[in-house]
Amino acid sequence: MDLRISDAEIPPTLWLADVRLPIPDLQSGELTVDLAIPAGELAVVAVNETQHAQLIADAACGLRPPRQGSVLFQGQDWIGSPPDYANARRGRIGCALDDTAWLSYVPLASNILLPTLYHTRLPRQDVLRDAAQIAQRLGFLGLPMGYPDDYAEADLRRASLVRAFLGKPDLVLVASRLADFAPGNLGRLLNAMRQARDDGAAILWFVPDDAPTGAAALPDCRRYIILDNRLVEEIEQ
Amino acid sequence: MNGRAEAPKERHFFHAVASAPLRPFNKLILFFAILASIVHQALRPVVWRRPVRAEFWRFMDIVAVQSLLAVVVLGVVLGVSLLAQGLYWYGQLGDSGQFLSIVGTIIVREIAPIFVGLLIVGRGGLIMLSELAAMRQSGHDRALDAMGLDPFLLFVVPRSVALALSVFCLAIVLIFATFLSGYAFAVLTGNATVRFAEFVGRAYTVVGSAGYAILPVKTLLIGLAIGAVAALTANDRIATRSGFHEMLPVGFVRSVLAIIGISTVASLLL
Repeated sequence: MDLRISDAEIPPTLWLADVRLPIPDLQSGELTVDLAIPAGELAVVAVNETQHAQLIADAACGLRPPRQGSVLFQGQDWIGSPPDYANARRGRIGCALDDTAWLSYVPLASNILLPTLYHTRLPRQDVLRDAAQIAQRLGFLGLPMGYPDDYAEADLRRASLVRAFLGKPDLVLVASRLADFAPGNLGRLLNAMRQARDDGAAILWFVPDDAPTGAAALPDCRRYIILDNRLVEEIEQ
Repeated sequence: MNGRAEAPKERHFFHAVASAPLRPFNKLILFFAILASIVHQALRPVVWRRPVRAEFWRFMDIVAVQSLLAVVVLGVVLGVSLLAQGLYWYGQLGDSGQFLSIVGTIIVREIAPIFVGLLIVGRGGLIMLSELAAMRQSGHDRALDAMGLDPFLLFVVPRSVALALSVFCLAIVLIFATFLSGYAFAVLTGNATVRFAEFVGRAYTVVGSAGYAILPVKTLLIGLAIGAVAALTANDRIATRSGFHEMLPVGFVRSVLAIIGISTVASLLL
């Protein structure tokens, strides 16, 4: 008996199916998004307003119900998920967004480990080892042990990437500016993304649309841009 | 039926409750809802994951361990001022005076839970309130939500349980410190007319008759109430509108009212 599942039967990891998201500051304004990211794929979205990235990221995590359409993560709609189950599913999403949450009273290392220790029963030593490896991959000497207030903004952004990639997530949301990365470090970030994609993660990366390096320089990805409050795919000429 | 279809009905229901004559009691209803939710969640083993347990022990250290010296000092002061007086009048009037029993009962039933509760408001309640409010103001709570980390389960539940256990343990410490220091003071001033063994026996009887039921009920409820007040106040509009300047005094007053209210109701019922 052939038990192989064809690609067509595997739902995209993240699917915002013709979604209309209300824009908070505009009474009647809405952002229209139709986006599907299969496992192992990278989608780069150039945004000119952080609010747009936040809207899409919130919707992807099931925190912002759309006015119309459906948001499916691993084939399941967020709407209707019981709170505990929804939180467990969010545990499969790595977030490195602008509003990074750092608890100031615990070391950065503990902050990085927090979601993985909460959502899994992996031995702490294993999680520590994985976190240290990812940290080194992203340019740290090891797992950063100081308190969040001791680090520069750029270091905290990199630390949020360590946290996002930790635990082999199924979906990673990244809102890092390319400018935060020196040329060498950008290569490290792309390598970390490559590794995560090889492990089956889908990646949604928000970049400012005026980024000097430009999303166009990124290989092997689908690129999107927001025009007139609508997400559209950039087609290569 | 999915959640999207049910949402308008829920909104309508809560709107009706909020706009009904119950509006003046909204905060009180919310307080009891948070209190019940803390107890409900604390009883679910699945809630106590590694970071939640770590947060519990961190707060036990802040509230219970680091307050120990202050509670012992408070106990000594109370012992000298109250129990030494009781011992003196007990020596003067004998058993008929019943001063030792009365003073001892008041310490166990009323003074220990309230005084420790007040101490813990400053030591733990306001810390919890300021940290929760800072988290809300900076939007960290939403960022935690995105990672599947419910701030209520991660911060409010373990801290409230730690507060409750701390108030209970510290009240026991306060009672012992009060009795022992009171007796020591009476011995030093020559007012101790009973032997130490007899004193311990009488103190044990006083605690037994007055406090076995009421002390755990009062102290645990007071600790949980301090946690619920912190969660309630941190989510108030006042926290986001005017910052800590108005929020901390409001949280303090609410905590004091909750402590006195719980103490009074428990004293009337038990």
